[in-house]
Amino acid sequence: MNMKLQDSELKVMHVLWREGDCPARHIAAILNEDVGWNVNTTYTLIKRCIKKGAILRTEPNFMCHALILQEEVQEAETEELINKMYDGSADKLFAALLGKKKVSPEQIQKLKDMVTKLE
Amino acid sequence: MSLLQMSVSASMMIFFILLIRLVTLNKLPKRTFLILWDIVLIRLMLPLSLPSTWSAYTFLPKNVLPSDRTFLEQTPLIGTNAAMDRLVSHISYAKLPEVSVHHISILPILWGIGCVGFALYFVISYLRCYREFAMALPIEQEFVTTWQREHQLRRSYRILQTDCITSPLTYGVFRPVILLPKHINRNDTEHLNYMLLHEWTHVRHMDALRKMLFLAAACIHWCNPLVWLMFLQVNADMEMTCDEGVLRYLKGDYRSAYAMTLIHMEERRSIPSAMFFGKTTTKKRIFAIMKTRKLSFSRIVISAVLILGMILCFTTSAAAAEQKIISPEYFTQTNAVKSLSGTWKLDGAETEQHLQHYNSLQEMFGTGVGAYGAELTIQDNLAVEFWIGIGPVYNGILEAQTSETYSATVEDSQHLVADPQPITLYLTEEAGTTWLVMEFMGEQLYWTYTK
Repeated sequence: MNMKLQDSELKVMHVLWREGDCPARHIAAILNEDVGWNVNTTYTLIKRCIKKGAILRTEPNFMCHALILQEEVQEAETEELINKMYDGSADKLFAALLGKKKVSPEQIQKLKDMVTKLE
Repeated sequence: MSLLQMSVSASMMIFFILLIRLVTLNKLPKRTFLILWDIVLIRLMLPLSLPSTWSAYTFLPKNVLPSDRTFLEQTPLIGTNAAMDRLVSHISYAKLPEVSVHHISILPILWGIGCVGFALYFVISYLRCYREFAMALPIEQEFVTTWQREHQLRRSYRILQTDCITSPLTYGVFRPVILLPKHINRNDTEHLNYMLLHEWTHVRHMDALRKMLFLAAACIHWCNPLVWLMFLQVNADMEMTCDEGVLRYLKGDYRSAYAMTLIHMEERRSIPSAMFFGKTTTKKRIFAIMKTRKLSFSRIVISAVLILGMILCFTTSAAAAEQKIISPEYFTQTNAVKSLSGTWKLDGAETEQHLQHYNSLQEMFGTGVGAYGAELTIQDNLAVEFWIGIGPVYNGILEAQTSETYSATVEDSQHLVADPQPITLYLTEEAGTTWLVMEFMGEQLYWTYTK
């Protein structure tokens, strides 16, 4: 995935990921409620996402389908974060995250399980 | 008041304000200059004026007129800016004789194209930016939400964030929006506070509306370079007034801290546009900020005097002053005398059209005027002298009977013909030409002015 999505486009994608395939006007209604965008603004953003290859439009009803997965975007963004801010070292990011908050026993258990799975 | 008049008068105001600015530097509150610019804006947009004897226009020469205007066109101008009218008509008459030959004069059309062109440019660039800004997202940060609650205005406004800009800005007149760039340090609440205060003060001062109005004035008066100069200066002054407003709001001396925020932000414009707030020479602003002083009584008084002076001198007309001198009777008297004096030639054709008792000039004077002509001379002291054809030279002194008619008893100086004859002279206008009509021997003779 080599497209760079802006904040506002990501917001549209979030709605699409959450709702699944739905018509554009549904996304517009949700976003109007959520962030106060008017319908034209949302439609412009959806069209931009289509142009960037993130959304697929099918007729009838201007149905929107997400062409990229949330996980893909998360991975790409994290990668970029690590490279930009943590010298390309995932360890540093990890340490920073752990060092920030107190980790609850449940979270420690989950981490242990993840490590076991990878081994 | 015509557009040209408004432009010329505003240019004088702009020149003086710039002069004052140069002299007072940072000694006067910047708000003063904004008020002065507002007055210029009113002058540029509204064709009103108030009569006053204190007008700066009384110093313009009164007889600034094109030389071959007929005297009857010097009608007294009541309630308008007489001196301005004359100055402007002199300019336009002197420079554009060819253009008014055609029935559709080109200049207004050219002006209209320029005006629409500039307006379109600004509207389109504003709309393009507006589209981007509409996609801004709300900020989910407690500091910001609390801040907004603590700084309320009569109009409701929103604080949003977007990744399209690199420095904060504000836009919108009825539903203002403060836009923050996404990549600012959320934890640096001190800087954030100053940035929000700055944009908030812009909203408070209604600078978005002010900017739009000045832009409209610049579009209308696009031919006047001083108006563009003013526009640039107004932008700078709006920013500095805003800085001043922030510092006044924060009671206490926060000048250094605020200046540091500006340097920290290193305001860079990411979207080229004249419609929004952002870039002004940072150095000048920091200098102005550090030199901001408390509002002292003397400063307020000086500012008030300047503002009142500007209003009195430039927005009023010299009409009343002129009215003192130009009263109808006096006017018609002196000018009528002036209009009579000079040398006149008999217009045979016109006269023959008006003959009632005789059939032709030939019949009336024996020889006609064709080969010998006829000439009438009137001096400034109303001494009159004329001859017609091979007739004698008549002399006399005119006396005013009414404000418009003069009569005399003319004598043949050589005493060749019999008795003195009465004549009556008056000016008339027919078919666009001015005639001096002489009642003589029961007929009306029509004379035209030669020199």
